[in-house]
Amino acid sequence: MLRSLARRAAISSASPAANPHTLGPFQIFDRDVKRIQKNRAALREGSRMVDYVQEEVADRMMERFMDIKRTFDTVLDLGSGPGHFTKLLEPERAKKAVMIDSSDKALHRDPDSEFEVQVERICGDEENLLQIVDPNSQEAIVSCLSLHWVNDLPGTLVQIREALKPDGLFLGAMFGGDTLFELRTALQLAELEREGGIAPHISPMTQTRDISNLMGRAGFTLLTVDVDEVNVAYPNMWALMDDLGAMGEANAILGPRRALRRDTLAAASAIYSVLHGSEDGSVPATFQVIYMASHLFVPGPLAHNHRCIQIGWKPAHTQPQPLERGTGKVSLKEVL
Amino acid sequence: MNSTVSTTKTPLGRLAVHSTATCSIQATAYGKCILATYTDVTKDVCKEEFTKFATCLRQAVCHSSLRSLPLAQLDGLYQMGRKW
Repeated sequence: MLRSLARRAAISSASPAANPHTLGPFQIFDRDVKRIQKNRAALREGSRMVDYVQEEVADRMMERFMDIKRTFDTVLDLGSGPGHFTKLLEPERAKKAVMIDSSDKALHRDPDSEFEVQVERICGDEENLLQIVDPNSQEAIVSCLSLHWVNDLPGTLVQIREALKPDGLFLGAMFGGDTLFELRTALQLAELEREGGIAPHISPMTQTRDISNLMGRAGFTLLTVDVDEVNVAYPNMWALMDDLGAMGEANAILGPRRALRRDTLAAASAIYSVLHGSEDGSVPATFQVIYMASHLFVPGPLAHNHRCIQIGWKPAHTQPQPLERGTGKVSLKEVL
Repeated sequence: MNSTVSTTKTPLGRLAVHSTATCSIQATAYGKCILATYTDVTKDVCKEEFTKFATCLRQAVCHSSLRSLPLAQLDGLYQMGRKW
């Protein structure tokens, strides 16, 4: 019943209206379907049981947040979900957190008592950040595993930069690159062999090398981008797909979608086990996380750390700037 | 990792059990066939192996369901059989 509703919702959802803040016409994901999926996932009985990926990534993102020796009055958590990251915020580092998510049910899933800091919840579209907050109003914006469902990533990054006060901090984590490549390849091989062609079932992912370009294009300075992987072992492909659905991370690619046929699914399950399975009979799933940060000074530990965070700092006059052309006093000829 | 949904109550859950446990031998044979040709897969390249796998699945699904399901659910089972 629910599944058929979801399918109907997926098909009948009109393509979203043009977004005045975006730069391009790209529409890849159906944001309405994603909101419905997230709402439904949050209402599910086992919703908390599938928090493991989000909690792990929030934990790793918090390590990076702790590296920034600064205290904030307000931290804006964009695409917070139930607040996996905000729950880890300590009162010494931030007085208040504002959570923004398009899914109302996910936003209100966990009670205030689970948070150490004061929280405010705003239900709104992450893609229209500037309609929710004023430009130049935020000290810090964080985003934990939500930007991979944003249609216009360049536009959203521009809005984040606009919303930040000068020298504000942006710290983000998103799925990218090789995320779920095992499932992607198994489904593609199964569809190719059984039906003779492939359809998109796994989202296109942002590549790591593109993120630094996108951040630079959005006007962030002092970038740090790094990559990390979370590997989870599942009993079989079906358990992985169940859990993805329960996380609200099911397929939400725009356009007419067709459910996978059952024999194609069975074929994919067989291929998954043989192609990627471990010796103990379980199958691995890779979640590749791109962390991005733009930040005044990246402290020492980060430089030795091979994991990848996205941090972004809004430009300000107090930040170190390159000198004007022609003002150099040291001749490179002599040095070399 | 525990799955959130009991894998034996829904039709898809039963398919999950049968495709990974009951028919694991045929599933592995099919998977190995794909593995041998995975750089150049075309439609029906492993048809023979898949037919054996699918036959096993159909038998497993029908057999176990008919014994364990109440009559009211047989209708749904029939529909599911037609989808195959």
